[in-house]
Amino acid sequence: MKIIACFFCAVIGLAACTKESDALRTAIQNSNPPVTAPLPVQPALKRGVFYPTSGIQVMGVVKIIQQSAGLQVQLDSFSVSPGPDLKVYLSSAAMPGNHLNLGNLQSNTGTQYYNIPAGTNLSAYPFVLIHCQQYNHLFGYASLQ
Amino acid sequence: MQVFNKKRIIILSLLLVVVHNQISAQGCSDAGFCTIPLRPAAASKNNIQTELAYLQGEENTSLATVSVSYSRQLSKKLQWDHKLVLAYINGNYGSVFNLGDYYSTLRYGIKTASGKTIHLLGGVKLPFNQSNLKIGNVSLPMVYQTSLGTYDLIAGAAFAAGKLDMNVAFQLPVIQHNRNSFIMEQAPLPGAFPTTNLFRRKADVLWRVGYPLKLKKGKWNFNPNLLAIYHLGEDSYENVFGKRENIDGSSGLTLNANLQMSYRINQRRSLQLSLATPFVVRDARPDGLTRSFVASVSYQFGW
Repeated sequence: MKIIACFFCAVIGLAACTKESDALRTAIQNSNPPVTAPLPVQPALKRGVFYPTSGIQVMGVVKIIQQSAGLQVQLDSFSVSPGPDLKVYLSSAAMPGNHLNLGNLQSNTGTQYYNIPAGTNLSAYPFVLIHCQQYNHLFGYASLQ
Repeated sequence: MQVFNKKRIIILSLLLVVVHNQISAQGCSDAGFCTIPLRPAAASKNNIQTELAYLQGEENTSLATVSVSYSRQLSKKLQWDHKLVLAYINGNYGSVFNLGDYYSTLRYGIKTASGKTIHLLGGVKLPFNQSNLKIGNVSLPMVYQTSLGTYDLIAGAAFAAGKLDMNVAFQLPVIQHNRNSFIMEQAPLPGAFPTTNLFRRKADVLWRVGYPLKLKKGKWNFNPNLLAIYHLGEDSYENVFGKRENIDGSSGLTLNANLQMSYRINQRRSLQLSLATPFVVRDARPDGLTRSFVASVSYQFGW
């Protein structure tokens, strides 16, 4: 009885482990290749500055740029407080509701890029949001000009 | 209980293996209520059961679960059961190991006018996470989640109908706490996993019909059974535009063949082996409970 209880406690203590596969590691590296030379500066079609919500620290600039593969959101000189499930949204307002989910925030700091699906009407989304979906908490917003 | 010979049991086991090799589809759930025994397993006042299970999932995933159950006879008619599940899942994305769900159920036995006993069961399933486990920063499909992320009510009954052993049960998600964020279009690896962003799950009903058999010497028990699970409606998810969409084909019937074997070591200890595989499935199984094969072994002791 005691052995089983100890074994189960030990197993629970070791719980919550994850490990990525080689295939996943390769796929992530291919989608975010290491920068070996300065990227050509793309003119911003729109840009904005991030503002935090209460209790959150966020700073940086957001740009909409045209790449050969299509439109992208670029976060520049960016940093944000850590969150468990941060997403990047294009949004019709400074809060989620009528939005387009561009995916998981790649990093809490640094320059990063997010593809905008082809055919997206940019004028319908004048805001970029950093939103924690798991706890439905807005971390930051930027108005695109 | 029927007295049965070894030859017929071996034939039955072989049939199950043949059926498994011919199909690959949805099977029973390690996260759902079909693993909850509706009938008291032993006559001891206190019982502990440890179970190890191996499950084959879709898209090259395999799962191993370990569970511990404790049941206590509160009175002659009333029993209180607890079950805790841990799961290890391995597949193309990598591996995940985490707590799954906790079950707490009360079982009440009533005598009918004909002298037969009906066991009634009611309880809850509580999740240990919100079904949004990630590897690094990568959102994972539901099959990699150790819990459905829902708070469920469970109700059921077990009774004998002639030589058959009947189990019926109902599982209703009451609080949908699932915060999964897997979106197929944004997945880093190719695959057939559907989008399950902010997944919402419908209720299930279960119906198990068994034909219990007992060897002449009395230590071995066999229970080949059919397990039908009907999913009462289409599940849904939130698309990239924040709009909820139903998943076509996610409602309907799953039918499994299951063989349970138990060996009574003595009055208070026993071993069980269970093999299961499906042969009728739903068109879409977004909840990640897709199993093509389930095998489990458990050890139970009481005092």
